[in-house]
Amino acid sequence: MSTPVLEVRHLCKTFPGRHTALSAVEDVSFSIAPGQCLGLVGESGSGKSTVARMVCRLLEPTSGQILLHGQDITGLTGRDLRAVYRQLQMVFQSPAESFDPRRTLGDGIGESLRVRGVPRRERERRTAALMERCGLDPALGARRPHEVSGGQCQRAAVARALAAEPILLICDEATSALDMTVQRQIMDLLAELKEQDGIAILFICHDLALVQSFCDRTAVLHRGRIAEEGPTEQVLLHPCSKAAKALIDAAF
Amino acid sequence: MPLLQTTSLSVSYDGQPALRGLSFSVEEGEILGIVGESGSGKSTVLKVLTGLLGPSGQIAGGSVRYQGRDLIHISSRERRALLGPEIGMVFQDARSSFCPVRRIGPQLCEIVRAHRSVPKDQIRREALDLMDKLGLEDPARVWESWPFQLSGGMSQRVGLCAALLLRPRLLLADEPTSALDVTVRRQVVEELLRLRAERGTAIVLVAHDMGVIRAMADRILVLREGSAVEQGPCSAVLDRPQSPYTQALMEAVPHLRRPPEGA
Repeated sequence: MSTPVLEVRHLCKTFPGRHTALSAVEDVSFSIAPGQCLGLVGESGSGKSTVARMVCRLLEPTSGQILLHGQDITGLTGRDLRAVYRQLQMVFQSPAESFDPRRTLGDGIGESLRVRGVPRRERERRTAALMERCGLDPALGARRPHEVSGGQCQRAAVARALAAEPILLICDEATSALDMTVQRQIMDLLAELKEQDGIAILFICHDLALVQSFCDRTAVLHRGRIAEEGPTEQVLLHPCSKAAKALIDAAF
Repeated sequence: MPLLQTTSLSVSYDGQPALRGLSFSVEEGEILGIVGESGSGKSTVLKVLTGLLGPSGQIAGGSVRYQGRDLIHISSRERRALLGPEIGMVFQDARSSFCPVRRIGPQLCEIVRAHRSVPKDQIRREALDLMDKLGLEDPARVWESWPFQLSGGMSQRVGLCAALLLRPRLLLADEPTSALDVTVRRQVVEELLRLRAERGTAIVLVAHDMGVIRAMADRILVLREGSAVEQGPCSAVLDRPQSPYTQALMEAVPHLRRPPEGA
């Protein structure tokens, strides 16, 4: 078997409190193979976003290990950590808020290229190509985030993530704020990235139907622990844990 | 006579048409679901009904009647008397409808006492009971809270509670469950259905979650670019959509395949 793109081992996160510490994530382990998508589901407060934030090192784990393509990235800092950031990219729930409102979408998408020292001409050419790839008219690159629709802005966010040529994409409720038809277009784009480019995806979502249609494997989080993990078909059609059953029962 | 009757309503923002000759009605105790993509005019409909169209929006034609009363040519004084006890509203971003520097309890009291003189402890009792039914844990603490101390899902339910305390005959709800996770969402939907059964509250429900629409709506209105492309009974529109637009909209919705019964 090939090396997993992402492997998480015994991850824990405890938030200190005035009286009692809050254990937000407890002993969470999973891995994602190239071109595979893992869905992370669970109620609000179950620890989904905390896991995502630890994986992209926005939050320091209390204990446990995060391996990106076999390399332990848990303790990295400074230059080593920046090199890692290129390989993992995030797409957030509210696209407009993740772009600098004073700069154009084109600037935002091309930024990682600029940081890597790609010359301006080449940068503009590649930004336009990325936008086309994500189904956006390159002319929209001249607009600012509030001047495009939510769906266009989310495509731009995917284009920006792709500019860094990541091996792992972390989507935290990336389509929840979008209309159904726009959601469908974004999902088609993600599926293409997964199948053609072999990008691995960690997909955090509260819409079980969407997880079922897209994710190869699914992990159910409950109070910071993984209640159940396995092939999506098995977890959603033949759930064993109480937490998974409750989640499926509550879904419309 | 329907509770709410909208006839050939046309609205434009700075000359740009937002609603084009829209007609629909809501009967007493009926739940009408309005669906459509962003920009289809869903929110504009609610803004006309609540008089919140603003200076850039002009009503170009048509009429809106609530129990036969003209809702467009109405004095702001009459509108204030109507909004709340007769027509309640829950906004998508409920937190911004509360004053940030005052606690929840006094604000709920103020909302009720603007229309009826009710003792504060009675309002508190009713509010706590309603919050409990809407799945808010520790309602007494919510009553004492500042708006910033509530999560998005909690604010949404407190906003719903504020509207329901006045027992409106018609409730306008703009994405009332979008900030809630699945388990709480189900609880809120069941509570709204129970209130409809008990009090006969009619609801205009704007939502993009087809699961919530299917669970609640009696009839559905599908909007596209300000016009009705389809309207009819819930199951007919959802299961046998006639217009290509509704078909595309339905095809875009993923369906959850569930474990077999009894498994």
